[in-house]
Amino acid sequence: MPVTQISVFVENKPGRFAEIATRLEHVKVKILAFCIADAGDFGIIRLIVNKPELARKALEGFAESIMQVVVVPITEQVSVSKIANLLGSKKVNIDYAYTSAIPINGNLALILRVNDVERTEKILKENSIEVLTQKDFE
Amino acid sequence: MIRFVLIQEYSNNKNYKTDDSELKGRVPMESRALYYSEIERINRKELEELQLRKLRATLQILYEKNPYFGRKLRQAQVKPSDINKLEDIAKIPFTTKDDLRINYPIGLLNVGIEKVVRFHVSSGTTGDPTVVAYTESDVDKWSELNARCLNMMGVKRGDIIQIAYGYGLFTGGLGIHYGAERLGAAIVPSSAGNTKRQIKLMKDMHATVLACTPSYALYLAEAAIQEGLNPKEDLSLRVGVFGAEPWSESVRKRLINQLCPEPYDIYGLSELCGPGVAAECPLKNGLHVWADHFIPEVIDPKTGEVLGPGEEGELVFTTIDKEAMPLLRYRTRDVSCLDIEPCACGRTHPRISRIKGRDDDMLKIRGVNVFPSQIEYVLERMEELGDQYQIILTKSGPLDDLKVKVEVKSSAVSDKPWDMVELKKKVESEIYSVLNLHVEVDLVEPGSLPRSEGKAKRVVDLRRST
Ligand SMILES: [Zn+2]
Repeated sequence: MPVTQISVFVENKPGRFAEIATRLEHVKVKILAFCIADAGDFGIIRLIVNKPELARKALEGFAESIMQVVVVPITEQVSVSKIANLLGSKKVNIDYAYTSAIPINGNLALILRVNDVERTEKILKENSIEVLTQKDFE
Repeated sequence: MIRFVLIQEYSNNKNYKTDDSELKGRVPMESRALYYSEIERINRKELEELQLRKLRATLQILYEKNPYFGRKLRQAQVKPSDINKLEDIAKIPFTTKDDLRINYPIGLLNVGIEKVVRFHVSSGTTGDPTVVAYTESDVDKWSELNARCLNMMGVKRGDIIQIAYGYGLFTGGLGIHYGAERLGAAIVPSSAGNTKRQIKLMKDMHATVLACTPSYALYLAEAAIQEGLNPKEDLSLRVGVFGAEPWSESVRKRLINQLCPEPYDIYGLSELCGPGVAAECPLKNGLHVWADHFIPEVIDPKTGEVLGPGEEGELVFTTIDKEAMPLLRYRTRDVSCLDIEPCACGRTHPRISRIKGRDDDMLKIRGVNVFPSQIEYVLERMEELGDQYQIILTKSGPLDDLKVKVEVKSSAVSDKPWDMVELKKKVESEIYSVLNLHVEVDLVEPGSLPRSEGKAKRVVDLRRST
């Protein structure tokens, strides 16, 4: 079961991320991971939160969309390098990746944007690597 | 031969005759108009005499019977007897949209209500509606003018015409409808909207003619392609009757590539009657104005001075064959120029160049005339974009520059900013295809542009403050 990532369109000007964070705080939605990708005059803020539906309601008025990503806890045994090498060897292309802002169930997590979420999760599980689901955040 | 018989039927009815000898070899066989009413080829001198006679008659009636125009004429010290040649029309004061608003709804009605058979109402971009009335004779003549336009485009009996202009208060749907019926074409009155059904109907009914706004035609073509159709093969469209908004030659090229081989421009104004005031002949070198019904003039919008043929200015029309609501020298605010040279199609009626937009909004950017409406048409067609946009004028060095800010919708948002940059580039290239000018586009957040009551303030001039 993959995890929902919310992508929010924001203009490149002060206070936009603050506005998003404040709105989520007001409805007690926790930001677990975020990543800002900018393209000059505007950017996309990618968010992983504990309650995506509630978050989207709170962000009403923003232009936003959702998609699925793969989330893997980083541990002593499962390093970033191990995950990347495994997926590389299986020809899974990682479009982008970032790590969580806070530990999730005790570990920081790696968020992976891949083309085929299902296949990626299958490969990871076959190699005994834990994959988080949205339920793990509740 | 069959075609000839069909033509005969129409000619019995309306004094039409076949005569295409002069056209042979000049226009493609398929698009050749096969017959004309006598009046379309009337010699110039006779046409001008007819215009003068009808102008004086219209003026006489308004002078004597219409309180508003009567007063206006007296104030300007113009009597019907002062009009002895066509050029004397310049003595008559202009009529503007404001005159119509002051007289809302039917203060300008020139006949008793018992003679009126129809009203149309135009909303107008500022929200103030204007009402236009028609007598039975007005509707009859309006139908005739639209039949002339369609005939000129090669539409004939046996054609199936899908009319996707709005039916109702708007003049577009019913205007073309009555013309097509008069001509004897088979009408599919689909009215505007419901794009999926429009495409299905066009396909299933094998429609050969499509009548709608050019922007909707482009949208239909794209929607058909998205449904997996190839409009040029899967649809049977031959002729497009595209009007109600200005469109460019680059849009014509796109329509030819994507939808139908013969897209024609048709012009009209609800205040005059609706569509059918002017239209393109197969030579597509300007639109013939039906000068036995309307006297066209082009004026300098600032001084009101009448301009000569070929000079660009504001189009002005005087209706000379209307009963319910005749208008004297009505200022359209549309920019065009007049061509009085005889046309190779054989018609003697003068031509106006294709409308570029409204003169009061015109901007001059790097030597190119830009009308905000042209940009609006592009933005309206793109589903990823919201309704709100702003055109910002700036100065870069000594030159004026232009920038467009447009709000995006959630459906446009991708997790990859690069996709959004692609969208920005797509909007810029669409605008380029219409204006031939590179305009920078800024995508902005929904709700970030100022909203205002009524007509939104779309153009922001920052040239002085920078
Ligand atoms: Zn012609």
